[in-house]
Formats: sequence, structure tokens, C-alpha cells
Amino acid sequence: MSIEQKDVEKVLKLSELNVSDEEKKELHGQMSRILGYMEKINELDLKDIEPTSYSNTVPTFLRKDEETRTSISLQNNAPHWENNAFGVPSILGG
Amino acid sequence: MSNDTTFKTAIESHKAIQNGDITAVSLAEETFKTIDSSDKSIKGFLSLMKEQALETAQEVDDKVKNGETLPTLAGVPIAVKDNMNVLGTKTTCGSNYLKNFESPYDATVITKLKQNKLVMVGKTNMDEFAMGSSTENSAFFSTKNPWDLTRAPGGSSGGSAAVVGAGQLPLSLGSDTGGSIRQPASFCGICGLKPTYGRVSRYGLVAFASSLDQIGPFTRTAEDAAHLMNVISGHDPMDATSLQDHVALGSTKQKNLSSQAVEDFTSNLNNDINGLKIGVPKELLGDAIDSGVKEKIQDMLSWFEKQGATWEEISIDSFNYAIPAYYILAPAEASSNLARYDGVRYGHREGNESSLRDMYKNARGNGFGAEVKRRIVLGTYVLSSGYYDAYYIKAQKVRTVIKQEFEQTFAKYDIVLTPTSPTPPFKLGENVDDPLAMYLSDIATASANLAGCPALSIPCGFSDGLPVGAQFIGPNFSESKLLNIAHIYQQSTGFHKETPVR
Repeated sequence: MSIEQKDVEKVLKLSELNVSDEEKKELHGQMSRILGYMEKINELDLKDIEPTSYSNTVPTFLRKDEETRTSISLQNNAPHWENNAFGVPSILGG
Repeated sequence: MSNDTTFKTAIESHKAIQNGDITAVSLAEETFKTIDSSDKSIKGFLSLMKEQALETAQEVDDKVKNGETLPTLAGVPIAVKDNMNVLGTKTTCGSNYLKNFESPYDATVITKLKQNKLVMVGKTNMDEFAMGSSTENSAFFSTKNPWDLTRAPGGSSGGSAAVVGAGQLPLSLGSDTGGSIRQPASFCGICGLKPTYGRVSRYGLVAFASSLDQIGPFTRTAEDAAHLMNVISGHDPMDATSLQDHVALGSTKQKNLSSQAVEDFTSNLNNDINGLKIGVPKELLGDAIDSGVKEKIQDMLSWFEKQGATWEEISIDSFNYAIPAYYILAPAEASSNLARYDGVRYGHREGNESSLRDMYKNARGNGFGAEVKRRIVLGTYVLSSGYYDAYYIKAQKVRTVIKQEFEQTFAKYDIVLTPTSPTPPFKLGENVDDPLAMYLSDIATASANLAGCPALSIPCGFSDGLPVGAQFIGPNFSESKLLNIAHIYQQSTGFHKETPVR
């Protein structure tokens, strides 16, 4: 499977990344090489193998569903804080 | 550069404090002095926390004065990789995106360091978001290898490895997703352990690839690593993937959940290793491995023979597929984890955008460095419609194969022994323009993350004056065994005592 420049454009859009034209070209070349190397896994017969997403075979631990309170300040790190809320550009119309 | 405190082990320093031979404050001050002079060239630290450190040291000294017995590593200076939150400090993760991020709370490992009165002196440099194998992907500066300043300290925990390697202090914490503790430990001539997945809480560690990330220690000796594991391991209700203590102990019975470690990692340090069975995969002794590295591994195997251990060349075919599988799975998880960096709640934002979408794009596009963008793009691609089955699911299947091959191997052998890195430390700049070449630096280490099992790197000699590391991989929960083997090795060899001289 080879990757085309338009695939790179599509993925950049999905990942919400602003990059220069020069970076785009470079990414295309690098992605082609890296994905080419990934093809190696096709040498393995994986037909009857189950996928593994976590190495743990024990179930994950869940806390009791009880309310806990933290005193973490959201304001400290907010790029734009207004009226006790995060400020963002207008979403509706303008 | 050697003086009274430099290159002392953590346990030696602690004993000296407990016995009243030195004070924790004087040790902390000495450490900051050493850092002042040595870190100008090493550049391992991103920030120092002098005030906090001296406060903790004073508390320790007060307790000694009152005749109290202190926790085992109390008063010992430690450095922390800058992807772990320490309340009141910045956690930059080596990224411009988080350059001004104030830690909102303590990571669980940090809480444990504080409970045990270790003296945290600063946060160390790293590849941005822990993505890299040389620390050259830090948005701020490159860290230098203490053995040769023109070479890389490894990565991504390069700062944590370099400051211990340079003798600035005896302990540090790093994180390991595909080799990010072991490879820099190997490059800097020290000991680095990636624990079993789930042994050490990830709460408060900035997420890279959540199914692979583990925090672990950098030390000079296996003994110090065992003591530090006692401090940082144990079940944490704040991390859903944290192993419950009875599971870690191999029991089916549920024990009381405690915040303290359940296993004493020092208890087996002196066990006899006569009869130990070692598997040495031929896949990691081939042409891809530097001849100087292979020579040192052979020397180590000869040493094992003399101890009554046996080794055999074996085949673990899946080592050949670990890098492709890892560099599909890790970027996939990263692309999802890093979606949280949207410029809304914290981190970088340009600020002049008229639309939300432009704000996202600029915050991410300008806040992230090239490698992070590359991995997000790669991860998004392998997860996108049409490629999910061809890449992501297949890589997860390879993960199953790797796990199974390790299980089969550990049915016959106690440990698997490999070189930690295919080469001695490479030159700074050597691989920066070739991402794939950089990825191949993880060829021996990524398998253990995919399988979840513990792996330890210790120094086993020098090739042209540069440190070479050997990796021991064991079955889940075999950290004590790995540390035991390393400790016995360090009792009769001196590689871990060698120090860089300039």
C-alpha cells in the first residue's frame, strides 16, 4: 500500500494540525518509508490470532462509584478564562 | 570531578544521613553545587526545585536529630523526568505546547517519593512527549552523553539517565514506552528498569501510549533500583490499569489494598544464581548489532557460565516484528491521547483566530515539534477507515504473537538476555533526519513493552570507551529475580563503578 499526498492532506485534516507545504512534502516522504517498513508484519500468518490491546490479562480495577472532590484549579493553566469558564472563539455564526 | 558525594550509591548516602555522618541539607547543597558545574555541559535538567529540596532535607535532618528511624531512601537526592506532575512545578514534557504548564497535582509516584522523604532536586530533559530515542526531540535543548559530549544520552528519558550517569545524583525516575528507560540507561552506563506493566501507577504521568507506558528507576546499582522499586510500586486506585497487590503476588486471594509496596524487591538480591537458565535470541546477535556490543554480551555470557548458569542460543522470531508493531500501536495510542491538546483548557494557544477549528490547528501545529506531528499523523492514518484492519488490528495481533513467544520461552528459560541497544551511543545529529533509523534503536527493547513484562538494562562493559548495556527480560512480576541476577553480577564486576572522567 503506498501513501499519496492526498492521504497526507486527509490525515492532517483529521488530526487538526496546521503544517507548512514544505512539512507536508517531508511528511509524505517519511510516511511512505515508515509505512513501507511496517509492511513487514505481512510476512506473519495472523489469520487465527486474536488481537491484544492490553498486556494485562487481569481485569482493570475500578473504584467504587463514589463522588470524590479535588481542589485542582482549572484557571491557572487556562489560556483564556472568563466568567468562570474557558474562553474560545465564537462557535455559532460569528 | 569526584568528591565525597559524587558517585556514592543512594543507600550509602542514606546510611550516612541516618548515622549522622552527613546531613541531608549538606548533601542537597553539595548536589546543587555539582549540578551547577556539571550540568552546564550535560544539560540534563530543565528545572530545579531548590527551595522544596532544602525544605525536605531539613525535615529529614530534624527527624535524625530526634532519633527517628527514617524510610530507607530518606534524604537521598532524586531527579524526575519532566512528564511527571509535581505540584508547584512546571511539567513541560519537553514540549513548547506545555512550556508554561503548572502541575495541578502530584503524580502518585511523586506522592510516594514525598512520603518516603526523598529529596527531589529537579525535572529532567526528555524527547517531546517521550517520543524519541536521543532526547534531541526536546523543544528546549539536547542533553549530552556524560561519556562523550558529542554523543546522545539516548531517549526519551535522556535527561534522567545523563544526570545519574554524570554522577550529579544517585537516583532518577524515567518512563519507558518502547525502551525509553533502558536504552538511555545503556547509553549512559547505568542501571534502568522497566517494571511489569501495571506495577507502578501512571497517575500523573503525561500519557503517550497508555497500554505501554511504565515509570521506572535509574540508578547506578541493582540494589538501589530494588530500594527505589519498594518506594514507587504498588496498587493505586487512581490508575485503572494498576495491578492489584494480590495479582502482583500471584495469589488469587484479595489482600487489603494499601498504598505501600507489597513486595520487598531487595529480599532476593543475594540469591544464588547457580543453575540459572538463560535464553539468548539469535535475532539480536546478527548483523544489525554492532560488533563491539556483541563482544561485551559474549563476555557477560562467559561470566554467567562461571557462576554455574547455562545459556543457549534460541530463536524469538517476533523480535523481527516488534518495531513495525510498536510503531503502529504507539503512534495510534498517541494520536488519540494527544487529541486533548486543543488549546482550550491549557497549553499553547496563538489567540487571534476567528474560528475554533483554526484555533485547534494553530495550537497543535505550532505547539508540537516535528516528531510529535509525525507520530500523530502516522497514528491517525493507521486508525483511519480503510487502514485500521491493515495496520492497527494486524499490529495488535503481532502483539499477541510476541506475548505468546515470550510465554513459551519463559517456560524453558528464567530470563532472556539481549544487548539493550544495537549500538553504543550514537553521535548527536546522526539520526535526526532519518526517523526510521532512530526507531530501529528500540529493536531490542520494544518487545517487553508489547508483552508487558519487566526488563532491566545494566552496564556490561565498554566499546571504544563508550558504555554497552545488557538487557534481562523476565516473565511478569520477575523484577526481584532480574535485580538479583544484576546484583550478583555487580558484586563480582566493576562496570557499574566506572565513571566518566573529563
